[in-house]
Amino acid sequence: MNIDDYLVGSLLFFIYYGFPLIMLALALVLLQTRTLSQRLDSHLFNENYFTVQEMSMLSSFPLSLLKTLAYIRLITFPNSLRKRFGDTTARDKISTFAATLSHITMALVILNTVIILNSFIAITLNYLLLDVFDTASL
Amino acid sequence: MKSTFVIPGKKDAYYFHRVRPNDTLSQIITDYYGVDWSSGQLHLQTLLQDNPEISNPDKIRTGQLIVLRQSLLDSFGESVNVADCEYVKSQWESMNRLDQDAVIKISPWYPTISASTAVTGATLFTLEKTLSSNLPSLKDIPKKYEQYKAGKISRGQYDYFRQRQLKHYTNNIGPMIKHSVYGSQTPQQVIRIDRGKNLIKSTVSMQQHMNKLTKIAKVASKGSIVLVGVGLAASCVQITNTKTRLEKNEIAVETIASTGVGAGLGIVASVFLLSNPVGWTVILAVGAATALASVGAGKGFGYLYKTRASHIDLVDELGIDKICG
Repeated sequence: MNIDDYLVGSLLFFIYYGFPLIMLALALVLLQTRTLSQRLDSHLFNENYFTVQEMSMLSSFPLSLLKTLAYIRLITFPNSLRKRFGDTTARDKISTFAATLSHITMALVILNTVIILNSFIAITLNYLLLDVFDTASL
Repeated sequence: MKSTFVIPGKKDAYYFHRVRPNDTLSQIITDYYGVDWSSGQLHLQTLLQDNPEISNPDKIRTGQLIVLRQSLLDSFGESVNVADCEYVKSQWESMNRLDQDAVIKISPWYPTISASTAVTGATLFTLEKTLSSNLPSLKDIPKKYEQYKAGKISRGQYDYFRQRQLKHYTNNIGPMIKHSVYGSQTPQQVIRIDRGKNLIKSTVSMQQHMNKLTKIAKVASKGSIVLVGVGLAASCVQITNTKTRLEKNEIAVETIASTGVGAGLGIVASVFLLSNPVGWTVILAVGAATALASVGAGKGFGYLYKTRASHIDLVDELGIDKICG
């Protein structure tokens, strides 16, 4: 594949698909902030799992989004948050719809990670080719 | 909820109390000056003199602003600056409830905040939220101070109480807020100076202080709107005012890339790095790295567009011209 096509393709992909997907993930997180807080705060947002400082910071918008993201990760990958939540699970405390939404959000987050990673590879490659190797393609 | 704020005057500082439901003047005097109602007649007389709009001491309305001298014991016989106090009250009446709340929450830290040009809208928003949730640990200090001044408790008792509350507060606010508000000083130093009246003795008019405080409060109370809107609106204005298509496209690409990568990295970092307990150093490092990466992505994609994709008119294809026009 032509390197120029890859670089321009990465740029256009980010503008046309990457940006909307990131915004969609953000919208889903915003949407779930209220519902997950209502369901899970009474069980999980206490001093057993969060420090006093964290509870103070995470109790109001926009930092409450961090708490929502932690809940989403607990729902989708419970074993990965053992350090904070131990053996506690959240899946049994929420509806199937909320759990599905959390899985979709997590899938989008992983997809976004790949898109952002690819963006930085394209940006770095462009700099290397033009400024370091002084050539437009390999 | 706390309902008092302090504003420095030319000679002294004044407390402004927002009347809460079921407040009475006798209760307010007892709360502020730590005196029994039976021995508080002189306080009432002074309060009525300083607040000429109160014609009947039994009739005060919720939300009304009442001037209280910082320490009646130090200032009997002196007169308040009526014009300044009236100005503060008129400003207060023109604010909505959200801005009034922000004034009350931010006021204790206002002298330090207004001296720092590095405090941004984003910092103020976080600051306002964090401080408001931690203020209860400080709210009783002024009362204890007045009790100490009135000879009801000893200096040692007052100092012990103050230090205990400040320690609790300092532990809760975290280093980022602490640095934003207090700079190189500790909260203890700033608040000690404040209570000692050295910092608040100012030659600047109270009206100027109120104006600054109002501006800061407006930014803080509308922090989220400012955060979301300012960057995109500024780019729109830039695109509209730029003449060449290449420059318009570069600005559009940089804005979309930096906004997208900033939001995306924020989410990714929160999910993968911050969900488990981490220290303040890690949080600060991740925040700084995310900000740097979003700026870098904007510049990088702008450069990529300029060097390889300038034949594509994204502004036209995405309809950005129409949105910003």
